[in-house]
Amino acid sequence: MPARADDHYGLPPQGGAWPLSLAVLAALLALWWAAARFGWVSPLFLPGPGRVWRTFLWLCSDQATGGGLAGHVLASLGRVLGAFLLAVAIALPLGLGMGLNRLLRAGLDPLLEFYRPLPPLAYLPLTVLWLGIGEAQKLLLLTLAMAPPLALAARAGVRAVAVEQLHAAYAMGASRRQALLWVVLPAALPDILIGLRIGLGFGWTTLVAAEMVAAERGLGQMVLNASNFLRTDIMMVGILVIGLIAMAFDGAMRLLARRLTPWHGKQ
Amino acid sequence: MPRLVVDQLSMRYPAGAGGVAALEDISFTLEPGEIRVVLGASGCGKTTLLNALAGFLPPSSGRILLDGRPLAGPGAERGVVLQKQALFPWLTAGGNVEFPLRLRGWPRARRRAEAEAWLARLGLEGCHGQPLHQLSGGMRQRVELARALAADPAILLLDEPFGALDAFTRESLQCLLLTLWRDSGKSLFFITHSVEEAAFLGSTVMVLSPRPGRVIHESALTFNRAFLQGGDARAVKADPAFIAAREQLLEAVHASQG
Repeated sequence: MPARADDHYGLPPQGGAWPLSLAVLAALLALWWAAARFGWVSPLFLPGPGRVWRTFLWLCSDQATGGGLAGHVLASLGRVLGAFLLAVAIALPLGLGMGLNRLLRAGLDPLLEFYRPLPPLAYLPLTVLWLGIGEAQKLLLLTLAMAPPLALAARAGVRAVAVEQLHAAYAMGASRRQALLWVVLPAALPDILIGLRIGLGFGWTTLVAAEMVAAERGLGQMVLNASNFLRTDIMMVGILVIGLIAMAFDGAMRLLARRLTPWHGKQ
Repeated sequence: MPRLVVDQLSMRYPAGAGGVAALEDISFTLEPGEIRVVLGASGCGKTTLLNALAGFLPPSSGRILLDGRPLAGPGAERGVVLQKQALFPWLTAGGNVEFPLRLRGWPRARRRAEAEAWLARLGLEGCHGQPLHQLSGGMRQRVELARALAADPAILLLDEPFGALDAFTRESLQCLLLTLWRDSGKSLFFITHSVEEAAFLGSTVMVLSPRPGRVIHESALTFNRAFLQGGDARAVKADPAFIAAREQLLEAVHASQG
């Protein structure tokens, strides 16, 4: 029997149960608080929630060095979004080209298949060797990390168009160019948006690696620097902020996809 | 009005000597203003024939001539309504109907007025802004027809356009199609596997044998005119003459399958 009105017999149940989600979060928070309060874990390894909150407020105030938390967040956002734009400008046209053109696909596929699963940390030293330790190196690393999901999504998106849709367009007198712009590209849009979401997410996960080498500001750098001084509280603020921003990115991209491709998944 | 002549057409699939023969030695003329129905069981190459007429597949041998000239790919004078829905879900119902007009560079206001007129003619008043996923199957098929007609082709090629619809919706769309045909004077090439639909719609009904498809029977019928004069589809379909014609077609289909 379906447990809820919108469940279907035999189909894994949809949706969640938000009271349970909240309860688990509250329980974890309570456990964290108790561990600090009753000294189960040394504050050096795990400062309590109150301590982390006060550190957060202090980082937000003007007394903190380097522009405080806002400065770090802005530096990281600037890097990731800048690299994202670069990756979009390069990888989307390449991916679309690979979807549309047999030769381009044949030429680029082996390269992409090889470099896509590489962990960015593996080629990090190479980017330092090539571009030094400035901003350009960080942009390159992040762009390289974000490009493959974008290219693959664009390539797959081109395949999403139904042959019937193209045939109908040509039988209405569409030129190749019109069919591409008004049929193939809109049909590819849902896949492209998924690729953008995954690419942005992957770029953000590479952030700490990108800021490991000679960054003055940035969330990743803030976490690494704090670890040098055993400031576990600052590290935890950094981790929480990185996670929350990642969730915000993901939510924003989902919202964008719902607004731009409301038909997706409804046919 | 253009005349489409099919002359000893054979189609192999996939193309080339290694392929299987899908159609063999098909010859007919789609006369201006007629409805030519192709009737046959699944897998007799009906869709291959339509793809050849639309210009999506080149003939393996033989010729297809449009006003005396061999086809060079698809063209706007030959519209298609396909078996599988080919609407664009990223556009609204009206946006789909406007699509062929946009291809021609019509200004927005004129496009919109024309699309609304076509939607109204197909019984979809006020649906211009509706997303497709909110429309029923029958309504979507009407949008598909409206879009194909808005492109104003001289010849409309339809591949089992009503195959997925329930019997009531199907009959109402058959009647609508006949009315639109009378008002527009277009030539229709209509594929179906429904014997009743073939007898009701066709000026000419052509029965194809199973693979390789050959023309094994041809009838000239007038039940479409009878409907347009009387306006009662049930009366036409219950007429003994209609039933006799229907049974004759059915017999031809059975005979073709041995």
